Amino acid sequence: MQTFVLTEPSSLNNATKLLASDPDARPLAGGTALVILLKHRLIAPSILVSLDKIKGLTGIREGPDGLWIGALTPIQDVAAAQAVRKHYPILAMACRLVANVRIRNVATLGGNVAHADPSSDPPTALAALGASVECVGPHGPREIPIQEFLIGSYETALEPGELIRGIRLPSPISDARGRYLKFTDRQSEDRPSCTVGAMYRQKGGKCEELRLVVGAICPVPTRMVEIEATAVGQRLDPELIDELAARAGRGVPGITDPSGPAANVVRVLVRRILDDCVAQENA
Amino acid sequence: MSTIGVDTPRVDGPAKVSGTVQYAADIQLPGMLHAKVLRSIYPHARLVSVDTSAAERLPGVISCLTRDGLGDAKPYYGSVLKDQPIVAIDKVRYVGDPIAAVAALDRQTAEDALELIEVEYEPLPAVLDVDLALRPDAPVIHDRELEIASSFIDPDAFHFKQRSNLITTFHVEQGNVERAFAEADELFDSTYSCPTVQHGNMEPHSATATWDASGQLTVYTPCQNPSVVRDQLADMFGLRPGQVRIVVPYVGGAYGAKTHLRLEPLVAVLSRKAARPVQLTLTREEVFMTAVRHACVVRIRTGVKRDGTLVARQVESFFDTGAYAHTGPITSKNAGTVSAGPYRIPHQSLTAHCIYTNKPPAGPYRGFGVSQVAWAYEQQMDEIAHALGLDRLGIRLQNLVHEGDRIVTGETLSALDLEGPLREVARQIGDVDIARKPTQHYERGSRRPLVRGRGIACVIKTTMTPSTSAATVRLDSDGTATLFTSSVEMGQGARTSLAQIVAEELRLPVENVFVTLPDTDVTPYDQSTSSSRTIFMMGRAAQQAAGQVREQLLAMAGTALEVAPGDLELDGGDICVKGVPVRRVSIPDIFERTFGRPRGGCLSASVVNRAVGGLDRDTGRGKSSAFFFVGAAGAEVEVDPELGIVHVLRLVVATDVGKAINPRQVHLQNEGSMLMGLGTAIFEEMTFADGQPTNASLLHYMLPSIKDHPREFRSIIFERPHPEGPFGAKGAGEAAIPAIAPAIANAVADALGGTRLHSMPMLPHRVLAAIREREAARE
Repeated sequence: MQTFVLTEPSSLNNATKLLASDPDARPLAGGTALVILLKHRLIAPSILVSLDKIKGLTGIREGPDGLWIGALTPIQDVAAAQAVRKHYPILAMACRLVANVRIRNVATLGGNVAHADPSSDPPTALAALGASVECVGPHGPREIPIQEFLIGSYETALEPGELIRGIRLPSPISDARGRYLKFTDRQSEDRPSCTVGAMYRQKGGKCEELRLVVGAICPVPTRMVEIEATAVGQRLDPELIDELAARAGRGVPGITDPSGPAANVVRVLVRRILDDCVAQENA
Repeated sequence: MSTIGVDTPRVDGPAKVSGTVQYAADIQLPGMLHAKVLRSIYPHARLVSVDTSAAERLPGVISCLTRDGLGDAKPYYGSVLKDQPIVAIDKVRYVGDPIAAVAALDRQTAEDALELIEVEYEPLPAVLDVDLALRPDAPVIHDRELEIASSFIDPDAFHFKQRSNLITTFHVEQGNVERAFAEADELFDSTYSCPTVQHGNMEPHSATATWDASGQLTVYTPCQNPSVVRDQLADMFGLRPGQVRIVVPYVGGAYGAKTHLRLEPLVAVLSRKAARPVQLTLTREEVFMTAVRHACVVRIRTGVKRDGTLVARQVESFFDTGAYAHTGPITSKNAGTVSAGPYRIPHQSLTAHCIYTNKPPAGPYRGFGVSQVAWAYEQQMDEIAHALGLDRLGIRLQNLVHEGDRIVTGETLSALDLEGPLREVARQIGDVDIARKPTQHYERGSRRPLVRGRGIACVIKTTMTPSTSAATVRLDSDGTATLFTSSVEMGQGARTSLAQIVAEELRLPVENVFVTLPDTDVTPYDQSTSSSRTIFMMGRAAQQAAGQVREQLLAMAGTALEVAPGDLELDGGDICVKGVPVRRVSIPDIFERTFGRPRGGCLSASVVNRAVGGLDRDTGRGKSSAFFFVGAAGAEVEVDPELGIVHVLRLVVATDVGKAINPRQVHLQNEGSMLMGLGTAIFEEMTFADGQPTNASLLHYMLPSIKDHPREFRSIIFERPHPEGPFGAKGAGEAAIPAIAPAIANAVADALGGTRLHSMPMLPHRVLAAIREREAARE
């Protein structure tokens, strides 16, 4: 018989202690993913540690070195926050596309990142923005860049007993354009099967900075560093964009068939996102 | 004021919206146990042994059921052929086939007990599609002589093959297609296919059984045909029908998935064995293993004159009915009769096969096989128009059937208007001339445009014939009437529309008419709440029963008032003298004058409505349908040719329902059909790997979401009254659905300059593959 104890600690300290006390303890944030895992008996936790009563885990704060988003902030609140929409629009775009509004009102940004589901929107945008994950655990706090935090499909760098306190976004790149695109190969509310996030800045018609991240089609969001390096200093005309996009299609880890449907999706989305970044800049 | 043609609000609306309605899974009986089912993990295997001894020892387990515990119950059941065992006997025939069941104090214990059951299988080669099933060397899925069931069908309606994966073949023809093909200007030959899909009924199947000391069996179940389920269970247990009571609560969506015996035999046997009430409610995964729509391959050949006149059509459809026949023989026959479409074609040869495979049992699904054949014939109509450079509306109008036409079965069409609906959807959707250039539209950042296209389709469908419905109307001394009916309220609004019909006959306010939910101890026989037959069949029975009560009331009033009954009429709960509306007496007063005080007494009448007909099994001729549904759909889509995404921008349907008793409910039926049809066109498909379902959950099986809902979404009603329907009404539930998917497919092909997908659903990778194939062919 599947039973668990539900605890509702009021401090992070107690929560991490509870989680560290039992390898089968699991934290409960919004629960939108956890409840499915429970129902399908994919997990059998001994203790569910609800984070609901802990103060200071929600909210969005602007500071001199960027933005802090509390781990328990609902994804809908992230999508709607003025500070996010103004300075980090690609995160707002990605959060707006998560599932449907009923899920977004309950699911949390921290829970989304901790779940590390490859088929998800926010991680790609967070990676493109250079976000880091603020963790607290039995051995104290630490901050991990999102690309190091996400290790694999449903795998993170979190140690036993460790929790996410918040997500930190560095100061926005000034004058940068950002875009986020999502492909669902089934219905529109489905989880993405490919995501692309880009941040782009140009000067005198030439690319000064590009961050290009592909996700969902690979286990973790992947920075396309070679393509970024090629682009910098170049004028991104349609021919170059076509070439970069084709390379992106071939360069995503796990895509073996360069003319197959997966490579095609990456190619088309990367081309569209770069076209759009340049078009916005030149507008 | 008339109550017919009025948007009466749902009588059960407030209770449903506020969450107070009780569904089958909410039922709690004293001492009730919870059941779980152990299901086969192989698509085809010999069942060597089943050992439940460890499960039986688990605390909380009360009873386990295997093939050894069936007692004197007949082990096999089925609506057409008794081929399905209560639990597996000698073989398992699909992944999900029940092998054993456990009744325990709670669900979790029952589920835990399943893991303690030891099953030994001897895997057999599996037959996973209709082509493989028909090969001479294919493993035979049912290798014993099957008994033909008689409580639902006329056992002489079919020729059944025995010990064969081909269960039965329906054939009807007229003229000489081969000669006509030779003389035609052009011959079109194409094959279309539809995958297995699931109904997506929101409420899962659930059944609760209990036996009383006298040996009466009661089952609470959301089944669509309680009278037939009663008869089938009585047959299984050797009881008289009166010893079986079927109670149907509100049903949370069925669409055909809840017809005939599903869980009832298993819970009934388990309850008898445990001597306690037993409830079984399926998980979503189990729902996918319990009821699906037939996958189907349709080969269609059409001979055409250069001006677009259809001269000959040959259709051969292969319906995959899965491991058990269920209604497959009827589905394939009914679809076969109309598989040439709603067209006048002098030479026709129509063949439909019903075939076993090692997949979940397929049965009725809104559209009953017509969606699969319409997917073929309405796409081919566009192929023909495209090849001959003809207008797509024009070629349909030029060949359309009309009232008075004799169709292939030999019957004459009456009371139907398809031209009106077809012209209207074409008008609404806009120019569908293929010479017109599809519009293009650039997304931000996209260099290749999104392309838009338009499509139309029209269909014809039969209803269950012969069939029977009985209704009883009782008028009580307080002036309220009750309709006793075994019609099921499954969200379609039957209770409301039937109340309107009775109210109209008795000139009562609708709120003074109550409509029962089915309880076979009380409510009279009805063959089925399916085939969109409830208003036509049960509505007519209710209308006539109410009419008889009206005559009784007028006679009673005539005596009490010393007036000739012919000089009296009913009005708003009163009896008046004709032409003198101020002279009125209330119904309660008439009862009082007749029966004295305190008030009592009642008037009642029962009517049996029988639609006769049926097709000869040798010739395929006769009367296929008591009435014909017709409907048309129009769609405008936007296709992303680089990613293969199809988005439906506009969807319009128009159906001829005879008379809309409650227009709002007819629109809701059409709108529901539109979304179901859209889902099957572009998203839905049950996938299997070596017979294992791989997407049997709502996480993985994609139903349309709100974001997929077309921006423009319109239903239009046409009313060509039918003389045998109440107030001219026919049926409304299925007239639209078969036209939706081909209309969308025709719009996709229009957008892509003729590139056509022959397999549904039109998923992105298939759209891209079709585009590539076409490009490769051009090079």
